[in-house]
Amino acid sequence: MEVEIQDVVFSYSAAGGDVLKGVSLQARSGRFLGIVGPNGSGKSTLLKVAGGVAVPRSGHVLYGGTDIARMRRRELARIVAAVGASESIVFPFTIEQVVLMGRAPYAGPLSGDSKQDLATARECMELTGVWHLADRRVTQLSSGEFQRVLLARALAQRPKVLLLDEPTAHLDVNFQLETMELAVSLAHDRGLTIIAVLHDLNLAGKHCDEVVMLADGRVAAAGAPEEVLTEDNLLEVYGVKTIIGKRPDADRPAVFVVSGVAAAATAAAACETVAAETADDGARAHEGSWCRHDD
Amino acid sequence: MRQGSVSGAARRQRDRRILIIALAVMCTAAVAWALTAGTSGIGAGLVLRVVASRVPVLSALLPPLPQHVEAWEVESAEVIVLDVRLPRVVLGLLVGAGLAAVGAAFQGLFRNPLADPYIIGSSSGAALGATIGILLAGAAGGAVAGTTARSASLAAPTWAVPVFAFAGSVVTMAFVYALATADGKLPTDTFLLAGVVVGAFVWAAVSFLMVIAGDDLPRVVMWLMGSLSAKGWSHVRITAPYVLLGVPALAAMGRDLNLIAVGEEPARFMGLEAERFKRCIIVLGSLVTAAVVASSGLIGFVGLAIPHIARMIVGPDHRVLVPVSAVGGAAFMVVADTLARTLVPPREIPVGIITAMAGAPFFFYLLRAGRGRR
Repeated sequence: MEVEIQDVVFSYSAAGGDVLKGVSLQARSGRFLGIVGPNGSGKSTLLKVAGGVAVPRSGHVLYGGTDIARMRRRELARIVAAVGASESIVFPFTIEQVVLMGRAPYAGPLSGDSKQDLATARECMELTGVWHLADRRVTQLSSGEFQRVLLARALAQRPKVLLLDEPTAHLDVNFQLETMELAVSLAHDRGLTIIAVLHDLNLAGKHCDEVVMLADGRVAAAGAPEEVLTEDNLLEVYGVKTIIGKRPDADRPAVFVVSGVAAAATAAAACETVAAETADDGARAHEGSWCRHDD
Repeated sequence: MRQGSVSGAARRQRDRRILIIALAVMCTAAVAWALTAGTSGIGAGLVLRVVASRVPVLSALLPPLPQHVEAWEVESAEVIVLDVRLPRVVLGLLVGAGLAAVGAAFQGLFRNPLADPYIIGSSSGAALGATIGILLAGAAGGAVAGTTARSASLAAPTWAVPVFAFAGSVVTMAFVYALATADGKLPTDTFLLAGVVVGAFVWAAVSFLMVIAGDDLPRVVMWLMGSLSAKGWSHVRITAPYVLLGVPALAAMGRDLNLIAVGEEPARFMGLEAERFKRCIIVLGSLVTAAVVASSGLIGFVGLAIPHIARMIVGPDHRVLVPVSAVGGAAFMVVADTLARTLVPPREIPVGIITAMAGAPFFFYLLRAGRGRR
């Protein structure tokens, strides 16, 4: 299902500033869209707006042409599911119980878990590799296992759109790869629309079909990974100097960070100039080098 | 580890049937004991006969009265069992079920295992209402003192204090609710804080009234300790509608309670109208608590520990946890109240003391045992 976000403006409180300042983007069926951007650029907020749990001050979110503001939550939960980045569960539910919660949008008010619910839950647990943990308590899992349980729960909703907030955040390289490949196959083989916030630019470059780069609540760049992950964009948005190469295993961009914050580099250059100009004056030169260290 | 293809959920459904039977037996045993135990020495057979005589089908099947039982014995047994013990047992069931079910629901809603039915200020409001009620009744009684004892009892009808307590509880919680609402939303943290703060203020008012209470002070203190002593059918009538409607309603919302127990945002993503649901649980839980507190005073521990104990046994699935807590709370309350009136006859111990003294060590034991197992 196509997701269209139109000129969305969002703020958490009336007094606070806008977190999203007019964001538009499109995500298509069978495609894996990555959202990248520095901390505080509005990535997670955009995901909440896309999922309808944060209501924009202006602008629209359309699913297959229908404005989600006109849909009921339950109806929406059969179309879109999400894996959040900061969920924690206090009570010792079993893994199976947690995954079965994903069937809530299909359940009648008083009905128990149907055979179909159990079958769906099992299938989703097998898909994310947590079926063997089904009877374990959710409070006893490692964060990587927990992440995959939440993914299974989201899939149990049988969504057409899947929103992932840093799906690889707590995973080791092996599970990072597995999760990303699972997400790609859900998009390419099952036709899901996937929107994922990613911090790792190389993962975004390797797996995403499209990438949207946010900066300070606006879209700074959007398009194919090689169009978005460029040296100029990264310097402007993240303030880091990078070299963009090509992955040896695929025709995909690879990001190598060369040096730290560009602003600091500029300041250091300025300090060097000062130091050179006052080379005769030992005290000033000393001050210059102090300046460089501090920045 | 998993065994073959038998799913945990299927096994749990089997266990559930055993559990329901166990709870039913437990409750029946508690009620039977409560009806037969006491100082008046009425035999179990006579108690059974008196109770059965009021049940439509059973009364027709009753065998004729044995020769050695005198008619007056039956009559006095009828009064003691039907007008003294039975209303007290029924009230105990309602109070225990109400407190434990609301406790389970609130712990899930606030994602806090320390929450109990009183956490949002209902107890302080009820205490204020009841204290005012007791003082007014005392004043009214004092005004007509010297006329006849009969008019004094007319001045302070039995329903006055419960009605004042109920009103105080509801008004206080409405105030907390209004205080915490901002932009049409009810943030859980703000709500809990508002409950604590308003509670502190209202308790101060109660303490002030206690200072100026004079001769009525013992009655206020006894009320605050919580007791089912000398409670009749009029108290049952106040409490019953709220508990009998409220507890099944809370149990029916078990699936959604599970969602919100996981978190508000995930619950929304799973299709729950979280704000509306939160209000619904809070209003329902507040009304049940107010109705319970109004007739029994402040009985602690049941609403906190029974849901905990139930969770250790059946797990956190609120579809099971809420009804199991309710039935367990009901049985526990009846047992505790029977102990309260039979331990040191002819004195009565306020049942709140029993619930805490008997419940806390057991709860502590379960905590330790549970830690070893996990």
